[in-house]
Amino acid sequence: MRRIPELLGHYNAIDQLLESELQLGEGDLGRKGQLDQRQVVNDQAYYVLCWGQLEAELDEACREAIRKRKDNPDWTKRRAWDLYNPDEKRLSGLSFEERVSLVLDKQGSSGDEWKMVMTYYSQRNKIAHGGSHEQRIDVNSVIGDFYQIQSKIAK
Amino acid sequence: MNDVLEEVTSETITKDHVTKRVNDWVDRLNDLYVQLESWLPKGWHVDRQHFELMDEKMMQRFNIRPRKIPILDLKSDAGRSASLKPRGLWIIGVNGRVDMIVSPKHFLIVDRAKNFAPAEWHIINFYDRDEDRKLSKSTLANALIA
Repeated sequence: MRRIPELLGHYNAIDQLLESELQLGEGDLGRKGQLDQRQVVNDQAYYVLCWGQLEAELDEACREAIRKRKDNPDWTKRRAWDLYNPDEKRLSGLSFEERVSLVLDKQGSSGDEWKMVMTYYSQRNKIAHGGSHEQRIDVNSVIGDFYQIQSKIAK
Repeated sequence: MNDVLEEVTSETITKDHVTKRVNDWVDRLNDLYVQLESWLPKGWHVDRQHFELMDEKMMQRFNIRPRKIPILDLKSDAGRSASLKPRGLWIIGVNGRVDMIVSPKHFLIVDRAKNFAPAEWHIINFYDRDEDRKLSKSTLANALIA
């Protein structure tokens, strides 16, 4: 997630510009509607960019978890892991939920983070597939959740 | 549903739930304003004559009528002023946001509590988002005076 501080810097700069315009044009409802919409689009665009950073982190953790276990000389421990190729782009067809479940304990100590990832994923899909046109996102707060998720990833 | 993220991604959210959330938001705003009034530095006064209409997309989706919500204006004997306007309830990442303009400064007052839990208000400098503190008598005074 090393690009997140940079992305957040760009996001905040644009959000601040839009907010300044909003303050200047107070009372002009048409302009307000236009600027409100730009803020929504800015939120969503940077949300998806930051999400990409988290997803890459989850994928890399998943590859590392597989590599570690494939290295086990004990075949009885290794055999299930041999089914997966950590160097393959799609991780041998593992779904996003399966990849997340490999590095976050759905039913254990990282269950809250597992649920959080899946809910954020759902929102990411809504945006990416054109199903959410009006939802504002406090990107700075969401990034706090992303770091919390990152802290619970087990390789 | 614990938070706004769960609400906006839910397939089962109901009109009843949204109505309760709007009522809860109005209650939290009124409680916040009462708390802020009690924390005001000497020489500051409140003016609660102004309102605006809350008509969020989530309400429109369920045909819930727009709701009048209070604005809080603050004025000091020294001629300074501040204005607090609710900015939105359904914002992913927070449980409602109020903007406080103390020109030229701009603060966000956001609730970080889960839905229907006691409010946990934070005050954030909009132009320096790392400056994020729990809302208290002293952080309010810093925002108004510093």
